[in-house]
Amino acid sequence: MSEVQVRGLTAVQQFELRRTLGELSRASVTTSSDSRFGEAALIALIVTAVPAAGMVLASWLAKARRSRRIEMILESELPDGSKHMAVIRVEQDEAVQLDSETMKALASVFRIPVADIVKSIDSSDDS
Amino acid sequence: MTADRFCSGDGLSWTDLVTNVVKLSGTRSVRMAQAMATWSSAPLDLMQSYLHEAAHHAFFFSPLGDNLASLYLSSTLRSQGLASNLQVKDGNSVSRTFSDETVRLARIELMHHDVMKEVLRPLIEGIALFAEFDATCRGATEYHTKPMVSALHMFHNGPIAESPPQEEERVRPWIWLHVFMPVLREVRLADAATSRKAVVYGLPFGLDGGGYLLGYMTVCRAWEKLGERIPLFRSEADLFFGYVSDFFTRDYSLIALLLDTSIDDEREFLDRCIAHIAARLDALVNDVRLVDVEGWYSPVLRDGNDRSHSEDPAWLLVSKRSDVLGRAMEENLRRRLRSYESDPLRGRAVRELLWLLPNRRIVPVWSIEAEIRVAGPKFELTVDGAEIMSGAVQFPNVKDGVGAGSIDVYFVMDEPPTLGRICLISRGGDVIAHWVLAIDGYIERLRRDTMRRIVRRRSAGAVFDSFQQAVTGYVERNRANRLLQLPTFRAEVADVYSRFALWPLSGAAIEEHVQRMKEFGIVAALEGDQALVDHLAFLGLSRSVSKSGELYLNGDEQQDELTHRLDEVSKRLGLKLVTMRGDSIVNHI
Repeated sequence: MSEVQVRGLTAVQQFELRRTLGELSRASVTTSSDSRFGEAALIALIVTAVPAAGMVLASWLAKARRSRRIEMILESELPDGSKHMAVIRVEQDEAVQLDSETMKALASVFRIPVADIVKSIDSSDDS
Repeated sequence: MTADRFCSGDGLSWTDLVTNVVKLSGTRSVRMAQAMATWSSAPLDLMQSYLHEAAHHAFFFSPLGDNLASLYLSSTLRSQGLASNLQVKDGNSVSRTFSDETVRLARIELMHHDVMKEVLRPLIEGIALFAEFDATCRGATEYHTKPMVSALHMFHNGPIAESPPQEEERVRPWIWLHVFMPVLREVRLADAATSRKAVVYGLPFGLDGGGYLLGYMTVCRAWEKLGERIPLFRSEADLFFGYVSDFFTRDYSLIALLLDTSIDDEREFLDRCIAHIAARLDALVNDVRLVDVEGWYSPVLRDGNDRSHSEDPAWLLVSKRSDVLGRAMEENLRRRLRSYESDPLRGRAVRELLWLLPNRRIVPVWSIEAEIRVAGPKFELTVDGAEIMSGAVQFPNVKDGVGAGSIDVYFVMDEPPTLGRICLISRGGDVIAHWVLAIDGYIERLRRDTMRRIVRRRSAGAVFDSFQQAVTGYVERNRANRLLQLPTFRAEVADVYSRFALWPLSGAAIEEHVQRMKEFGIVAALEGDQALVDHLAFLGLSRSVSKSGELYLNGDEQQDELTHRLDEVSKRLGLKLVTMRGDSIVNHI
């Protein structure tokens, strides 16, 4: 199953999103073995590229996140081997409906209709 | 790109264990070029990266680092892969047949190098993080580590507001307290420092991701435990940083283990490494006494030398017998490496590589491409279109014209007072100008001794690059099935460190914390509470630059409430993060 790599989040945001996504995500760990030692880098989050994950991610961005400002890079590999990358920025104190650019970006990475993303955000309101 | 030339500007800073080449990230800027080329202080936002990499450099430029590098060279020199890639002068490839024993020894040497390096990785990174976040000189000792002294050279090159004291013996402590501490304070109390530390808190508590948090918590806990017996360590964290580095890098019993090629089974070697590191950590936290530390740096007290230490292994709790054995094995390895010098095929490469080992003291730390225009006796230098500087051409036979060149900065990590910083402006193969920054009276000596070595280091670095390319296949093939890539074995290594990192916990309590923190470290223990994570980082950084090394509630309602919450979480989880004792705050990490 293809995966989406999520980079750019802080450790706290990663932790929060990982907990929200549960089984649909995992922390990316590397087993370094070369001779270079150096600065610590945040690990990446790997999200399973299924519609459900895209919808949970959208709801988290719109409603559940605790940080005011989020900046994330989503990168996935398409079946033909090419890479698809989307940058998402959200900066609001309150819960928001995501802007159309963000929803389009999520829709393209997770290959789901934008309408489904809107629906999932709305339904997370109800719950 | 050669190993000796490194273009900065992306990714993270790193130090190479074999060559000791350092790359500082985020430095490809006109601002940095200006500072480096004109000898201003380097930008302070680079200081933490610098301390981290300088700590790595110091660790690798040591008996243990030398032997790790030598063992790597020995293995790869033995390998058939290298021979099949070598070419003789007429351009024909030459391949050779090696005995089974040579192939076996090559395999064992690379295995020992790889396993030891990975078992030590958490410790190496933990010590570097300690240098970055905690190491401090408060003037109570005459001992200072090279990373700290070089940081003073690199980041404070400006005027000093007040006059130093008249009494000679008070000058050095005064410099650390009144010149360096304010710089350190500015860096560690900035938001950027808190963010950097929060990154470490969010890393996996295990070997995955590099073992940073595991190693850092281990070193912090060792510092705390030792500080109970040796209060000098509490105020002079730089002294602890120096001692703990030497405790491992000058441990010839560890070097004897590394070089013992009679251990050809990876499982057995891994077990021996794990047992050795566990025993040394245990000795460090439980057995080291003040008299050992004083004995270790007694030459500093006796001779007034800034950075000498005793060669007596007893002060590092290493037996004389192990020391003698390790040194003899080291000499054997050197002798064998030198024997390759007469080899018609490998001789030149071997000579350059062996020359490189002791000359890793010349550290290329920074480089940027520049455009250089020479017109008669003058040159002008621009970076990304911005004019950085102009000056006099210092060397003969430099032709007029415009061309691609570079600014290269080297640190010379010799013992003070010949520690210094050298800047080279060059175009093509021609050096156009250079500057030397060192203690007054030693500039000429450094210029005379070092310039030739810098030029040779460049060529030796290029030789090493070719060598690396030639042996890549051999190294990768041999590394493909290392046990340490398997989770079971990585967990065994992590267990050793966890026991120290989570002291005084044991058994099920350790396992509970390991599970809780395995993906997101302390961030997970704090339930992803950003305010608590940031405050924990801030407390540690504040303590490192406070006047006394102690922390107290400061009356700021919001901050004090966060401190109390950290204390509560620590108690609830049984995890040493912060402990309140009345108004006093003990920050454990």
